[in-house]
Amino acid sequence: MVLKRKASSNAIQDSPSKRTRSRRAPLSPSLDTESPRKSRVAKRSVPVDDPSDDSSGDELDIINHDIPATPSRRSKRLVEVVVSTPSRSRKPAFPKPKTVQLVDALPPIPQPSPSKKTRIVTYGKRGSADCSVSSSPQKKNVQLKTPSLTPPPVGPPLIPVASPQRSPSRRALKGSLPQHLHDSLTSQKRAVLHALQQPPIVPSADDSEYSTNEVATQQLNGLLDGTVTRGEGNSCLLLGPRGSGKTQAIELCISNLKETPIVVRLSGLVQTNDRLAMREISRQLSAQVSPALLPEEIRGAANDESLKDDDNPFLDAPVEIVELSVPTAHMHSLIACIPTLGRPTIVILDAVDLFTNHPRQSLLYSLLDTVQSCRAGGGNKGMAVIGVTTRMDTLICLEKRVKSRFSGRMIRTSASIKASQAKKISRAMLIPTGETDGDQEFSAMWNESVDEILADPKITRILEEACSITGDIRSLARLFMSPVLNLKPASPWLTASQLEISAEAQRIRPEFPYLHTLNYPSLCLLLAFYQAENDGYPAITFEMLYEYVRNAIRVSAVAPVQLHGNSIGMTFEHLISAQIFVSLSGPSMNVGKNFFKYRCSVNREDVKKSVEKNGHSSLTKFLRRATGSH
Amino acid sequence: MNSLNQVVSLLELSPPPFIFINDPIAPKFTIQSLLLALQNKIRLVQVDGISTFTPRLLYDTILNGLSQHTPSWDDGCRNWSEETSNDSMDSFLRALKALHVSLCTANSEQRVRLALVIEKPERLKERMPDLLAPLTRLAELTRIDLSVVLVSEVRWEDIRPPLGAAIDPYYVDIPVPTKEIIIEHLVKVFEENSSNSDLASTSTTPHSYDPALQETYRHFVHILVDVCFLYTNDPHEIQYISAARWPGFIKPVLDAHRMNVEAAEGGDEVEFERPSTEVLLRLTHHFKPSLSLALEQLYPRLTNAVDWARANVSDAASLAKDGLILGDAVMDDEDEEEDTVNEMLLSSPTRSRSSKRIQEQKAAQDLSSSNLKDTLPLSVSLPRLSQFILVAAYIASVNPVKSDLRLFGRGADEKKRRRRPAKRQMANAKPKSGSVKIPQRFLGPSPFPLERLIAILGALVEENDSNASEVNDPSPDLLDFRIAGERTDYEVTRVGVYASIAQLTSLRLLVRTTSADKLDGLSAMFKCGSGAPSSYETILDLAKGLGVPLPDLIWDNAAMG
Repeated sequence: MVLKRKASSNAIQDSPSKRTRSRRAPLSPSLDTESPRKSRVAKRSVPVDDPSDDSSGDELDIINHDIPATPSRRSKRLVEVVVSTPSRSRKPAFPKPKTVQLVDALPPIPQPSPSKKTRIVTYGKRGSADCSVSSSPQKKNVQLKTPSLTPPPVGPPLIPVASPQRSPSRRALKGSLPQHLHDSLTSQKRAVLHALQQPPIVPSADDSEYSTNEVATQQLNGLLDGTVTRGEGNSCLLLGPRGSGKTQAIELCISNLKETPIVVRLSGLVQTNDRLAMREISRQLSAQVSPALLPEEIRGAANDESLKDDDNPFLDAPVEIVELSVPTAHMHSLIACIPTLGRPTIVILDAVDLFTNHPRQSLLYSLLDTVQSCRAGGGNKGMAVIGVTTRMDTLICLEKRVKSRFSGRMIRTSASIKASQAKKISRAMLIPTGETDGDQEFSAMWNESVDEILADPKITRILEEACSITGDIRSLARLFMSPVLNLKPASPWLTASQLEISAEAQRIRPEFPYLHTLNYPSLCLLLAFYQAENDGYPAITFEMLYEYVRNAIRVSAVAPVQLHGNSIGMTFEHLISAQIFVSLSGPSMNVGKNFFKYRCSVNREDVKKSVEKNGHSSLTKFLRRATGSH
Repeated sequence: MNSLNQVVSLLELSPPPFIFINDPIAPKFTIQSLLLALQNKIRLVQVDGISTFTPRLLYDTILNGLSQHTPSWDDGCRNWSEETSNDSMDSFLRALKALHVSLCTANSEQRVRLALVIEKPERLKERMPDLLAPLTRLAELTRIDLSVVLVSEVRWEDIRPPLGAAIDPYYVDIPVPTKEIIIEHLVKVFEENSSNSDLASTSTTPHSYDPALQETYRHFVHILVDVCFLYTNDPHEIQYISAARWPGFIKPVLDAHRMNVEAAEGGDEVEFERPSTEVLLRLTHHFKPSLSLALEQLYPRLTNAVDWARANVSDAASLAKDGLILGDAVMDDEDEEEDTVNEMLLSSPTRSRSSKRIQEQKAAQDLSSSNLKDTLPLSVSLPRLSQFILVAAYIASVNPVKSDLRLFGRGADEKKRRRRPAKRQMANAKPKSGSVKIPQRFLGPSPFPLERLIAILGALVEENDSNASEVNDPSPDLLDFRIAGERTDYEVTRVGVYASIAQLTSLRLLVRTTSADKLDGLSAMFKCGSGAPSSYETILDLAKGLGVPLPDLIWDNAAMG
């Protein structure tokens, strides 16, 4: 509960106004028992300089762990002073265990009463908050903190109170990581990266209406449920753009089924013809079904390699490849056997549009025909065929006889997510649930830093941009990958600027990002092409470029390139292998290498910009000439 | 390097299924450092798109590499997997799964992560276009912990299979290597070399990769990179040049040391000392010119490093001139000077020279470069008539047909028609509309019929070689040539001319563009062969030797020379 509240308040408030009251704020709502306040009040009489105020002492103990490099010398000294004391200060604290437990929340002390989660969160927040505070004069804080406790915290003022905490914590997050948390950082990185590969499913924002994907999942669930429990034959197409969660939906539905069905997974990319597909089906069936249940034909087909060795003792070495030859005439009857297996079967056809290219679409026909003639009861189990594709016109690609056997059911997933949803998803990815083998102290700090960065308006803008281009969650996850990778003990938290850089590298990729760092001859060649294009030549040969460059160098009278042909020729070949210059014709015996025609794949504007960015004086001169002759 | 470190840590922690590394300059270098960094951390296989040019080779290379299985001759060069795993993609996937299972059972305490590093994936696209999409989805298809890393000079946009079949990669851009990176790499290689036991000689004399010389080497590399960096940023290329020059560079120092050792008569150990700054400066001064020469010849691989190093050994005299004979070398400068003047001049261009010496130096350079190309100049190796044919072929290749009459036609008035002043085309080539036609000289030689070649040859011979044919003719009185040019006509249509053309064609100095078995119909078409016979400079040399005024006979020679 506290966690939730904290997150929302963070998002809302930015103004770092009242630092003083903030520090108690997140604590008080969860811990408003009477006794701690009492004890606190009682302790107010203790002189401020005396660090025997156990709560502050222990807090500072934490500080010492968190920030080795405290910004100001004074605070450092203070910390040291405090640290030396705990042995002394803690002793008087023990007789009042409640105070210790509620106020300073030291993890090593076993505490029964507040729930563990609450305690961790509170502790982490305070820890980081205190770190930051330590940069300001400590004395004042201690003074201010104590009175702030005395008024009993009430609901409304809490929210403004919570707000200022962000500003100090942000400063705290700028520091580098103490030694003992380095391992936690690594494991956190690993966990986050793992979550970025397998994005968690996040329920949509408002409960009033379901998102497209949830509807799709429900429909699919119903369909598969019918197949598994009632023995229905079902077929459907699952349509949706890339990365919209088609496969995820299927896997989710299959894992939710009560009975484990036989799952046959085929991909149009791999099974490029019906023969391969048939072999794959038989292999997968024989792997999942006990062989006794398999009909003879399928079993034979699957084990043909072993059979071949047994049957033919004269062949000591296998004869090349034994293509499993299932005649297309038999295929239909083989597939028709599938419902007679002991368990219901689900056939998933990935990239089903590629299966429609197979001759006469016989595999699709057999599958769909079997599905259609599936009768409930009679000992036969159900069978479902799910075609997964990104192509919306797949239905049109089906032949008439195939289409007539298809149920026509189409389930769509969508990849449009709102920025708020994207934010939720990213939060779920950045704060992976489950195994947290890292330090709890660290994970609390991490969670806070993630919450903070997601509240950053810059991030919101980036996420909005990402969502407006594509709702692909995988591409969203890619954005976070390089910032997460860049985390180091010296800079352990995500920053908005890093995300911006990574967005540029991953999403809005510039055509040739390295152009301006290319060496001098390369840029000369590019400029020569630029000039030739200005002169109206659509394509160039090397001879021509060479002449342009030579002229340019002669005119500019600065000749840092010895133009012996060789060096610049090698550069040209480099550019060809990077496909900056693309050959217009294939290689030929009769044409000299220097007379091949090329065109340049770099944009004119990009050449100009990169030359300007490079800033080589003679290059800029060349550029001026090139544009001037225009 | 930062982005490379990112990839390394990504592969270590939790890799995405597909990573694309774009390195426009030195992908080999990137792959090497990547493999080195990940050596014992994950199961890695490096696949080259050039050597795996069929699906089977690709599958087998991947499987054998991941299982670290080397096919040996004794067991019949069996592959890793027992059953056929290379006949199709799904067999390969099955084998991959089986491999993963077997690896997992082999070391159960930790999870096995596989990675495929594919070099030159653009070749895979050319050869097996429908393989690339499943390759990028390998992790998804096999459902194992596997990552595919493509390293290419080309952008992913140029390789990407159509229809969005492949998943989007995690993009990594390797920046162009900086000087510091190159120097670091070279010094690292030096360290590897110095720890190499093969190089370390047992004698007291240090070899050129002795650890004691590392600082000197660093200095040398700095100079070398300064020279080369403008032209190439590939660390491997610079490493190659360095390997060719460094032993020669440090040789004077080592020689001096050896002499000191000999002078000491084996009595007491002579400690090898690092060359002083002054020596270093002298060495630099002496060898710096040869660095750019090395770049010029080694970067385009006009020769190999060993030969180059042998050809560019500095001799004692030139070293002595620069004060680089450090020991008590016996020198008689006077004797050696004449022999070695060329090389000396080559390597110490800062000295004042007479013009004759400059010429000699040039000659030496030319000779060395022609030696490298392993060919004699055409003017030496070809008979006179063949040289005429080549010049004629060049003219026919370059000039438009309509210009022949103007250039070679001789009317009754004997007035020579000159070529019209050629327009300067480059400057005012702006088209009215559409694109400009590229001048012929940039498109290479154009084909011409045999008859035209013979006609131009006749004109050339008539104007430039009349007396020669008279001299050569053993019996001038047997035939009576009354009409002007009749003798030339006679000469030019001899069988020997056709034989020479056939010979030149077989040398590929001329290229026949029509098929050889076509006898009737159109006459045979030829054009200049690529390389030397179609370069203006070579033909100009030939023409000068023959006395043909070539520049006057080229229609559009605005930009020639």
